[in-house]
Amino acid sequence: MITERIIVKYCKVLATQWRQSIRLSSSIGYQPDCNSTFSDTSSPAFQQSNHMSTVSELYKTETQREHINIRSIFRTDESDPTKHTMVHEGLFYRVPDNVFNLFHAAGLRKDFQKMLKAFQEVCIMIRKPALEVFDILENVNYNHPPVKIILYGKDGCGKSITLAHVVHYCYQKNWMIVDIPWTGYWLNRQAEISQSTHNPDRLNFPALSSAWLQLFRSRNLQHINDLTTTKTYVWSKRETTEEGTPLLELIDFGLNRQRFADDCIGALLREIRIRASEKRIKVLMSINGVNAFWQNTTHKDANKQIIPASKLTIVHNFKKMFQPTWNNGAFVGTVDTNANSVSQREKQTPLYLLGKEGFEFMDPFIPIEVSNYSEKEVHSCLEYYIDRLWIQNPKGHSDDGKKELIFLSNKHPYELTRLCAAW
Amino acid sequence: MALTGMKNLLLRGVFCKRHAALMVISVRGKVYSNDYAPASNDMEDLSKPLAENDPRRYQKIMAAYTEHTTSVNFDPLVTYFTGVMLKKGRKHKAREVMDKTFENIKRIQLEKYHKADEAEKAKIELNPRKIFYNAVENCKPVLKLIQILKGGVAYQVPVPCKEKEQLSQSIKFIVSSCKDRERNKIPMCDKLAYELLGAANYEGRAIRKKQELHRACEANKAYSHYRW
Repeated sequence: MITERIIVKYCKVLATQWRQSIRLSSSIGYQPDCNSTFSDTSSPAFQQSNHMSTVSELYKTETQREHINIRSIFRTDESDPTKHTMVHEGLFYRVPDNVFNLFHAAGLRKDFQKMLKAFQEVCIMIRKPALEVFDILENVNYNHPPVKIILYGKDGCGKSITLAHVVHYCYQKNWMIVDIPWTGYWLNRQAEISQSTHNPDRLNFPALSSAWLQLFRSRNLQHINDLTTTKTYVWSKRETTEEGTPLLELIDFGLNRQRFADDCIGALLREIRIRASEKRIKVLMSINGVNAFWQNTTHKDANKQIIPASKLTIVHNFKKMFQPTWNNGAFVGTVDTNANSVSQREKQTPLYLLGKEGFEFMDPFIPIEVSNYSEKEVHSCLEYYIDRLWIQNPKGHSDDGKKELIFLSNKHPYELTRLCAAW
Repeated sequence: MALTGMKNLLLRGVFCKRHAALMVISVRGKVYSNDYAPASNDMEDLSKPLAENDPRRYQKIMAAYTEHTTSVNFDPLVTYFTGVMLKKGRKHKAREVMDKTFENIKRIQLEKYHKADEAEKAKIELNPRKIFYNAVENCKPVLKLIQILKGGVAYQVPVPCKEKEQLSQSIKFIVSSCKDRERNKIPMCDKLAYELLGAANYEGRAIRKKQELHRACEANKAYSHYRW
């Protein structure tokens, strides 16, 4: 336990040193207390942002303030994540429906998706961990191997939603997005298993893999349109993919011949790595629950032995993306207790969840903690719920009610949603 | 300040050593005589010092109920309802079901609300507590049937229902109409939500049960003089 703490601390120190080296703190008004950012009008962040509707309203005189809509305090009109700064911390922004349907829906909790239905809109709170990731992605050197960022924290603190925010940011920047919304679907779902044709030791998921290819095709159509293969792939005696064929054809081959879908993903990822290194595309790899790659699956083989995740072709192919053989990309993922087997869910730290093997494989990475709400965030969240008619008890709108909700939930985001549901 | 606060609480019997045993062991039936006043759980009332001529200075006070809290969201009728719904003493589970029921009601009403026009929106009740109160009120029967032996024959005699009995009967109608074997696989919270929503609009099984009872009373009207 002590060694784990030391290693995490060491990683944090490395990350802070690295951040200092890229002069992060000077490029953006990085102040821990948000109120001080508001009062300091000379800070660069204050001058840079064009969308100051929310903040400037705080400065208005009492007479002016009477006419402000209360929505403006917990909500920002800025729906472009690339323009989010510390000024917007704790505020909600609306995600366009088409973006949400493309990327986020799969990896989020069912409870959260139900809430979205009740709210009639998709809103994500702009939080510090996401802004920290944006800073890193903005300032990192893309000639080096991809930077690895891992979000960790207690269950229900908003890791997946932070990841969704990051994905939206990269989508807005026109990056290619290679993502697994939730690793549990691969490892724990009942699905057909078959032996790999390429390597008999490995196992394939024909149906799941072709579904992934279909998703990838629909999401990244504009990026893969003009890319071609750099190598001839021989699938069997009669079936080959020649050098110079478009990537779309490669994907269509995988979709038509489900037997080769898993190996097709491997070939596709290889092509992406090569094209990214040529600076033709920028790639974000996002995996929700990476720690499952070093866990056992719930599937059993012919001898009734439990299959470890490392034996799966898909895991083998995605692990290659972590190796420093390519550049012009980044990895942002989460480690989640729910991706681990039931007996290994005691702690939330990356070393515990990844295990020794996984930790050494991922090293070096930047751990970023997603923790409970801050005082400002929790009030903004409650205001949002009241605005969306979610807290119906009139006593819940009063200060006493809010105090009680905050005390009972201890500012834990998921607990807060559960508590508010009954009010 | 803190000491006076404690003194006040002791005076009102919230912290009372004498009643500690009663607070732990729940006893059916009436334990206290009529000169005992019920304990308050209103935080605003408790935080104020007692007035000079307040009767609670010399009155005996009951021990507070274990399930009653000083929460802003506390509601005595909801706790009573939870107690009736409870199975095998699993109070925590029952409370969870109750919370989920309110959540479901809110969801259903919100969905209606967002679909409706501006004029209709004002008519839709969103507060699940109010719907719950309406439902319980609507299911209250006016009469009940009791068995009376006259000349070796048992007659079903209609008699007026007391207010307390009306409440318990109405809750029993709602809960029993959800606890049926046909819909075993549907979660209790879903069934309850629909039942309460229906009862608030004079629809559903619970209302039908009440009407059946009234009809039976109407049919046995001829025996009503056996009451005396």
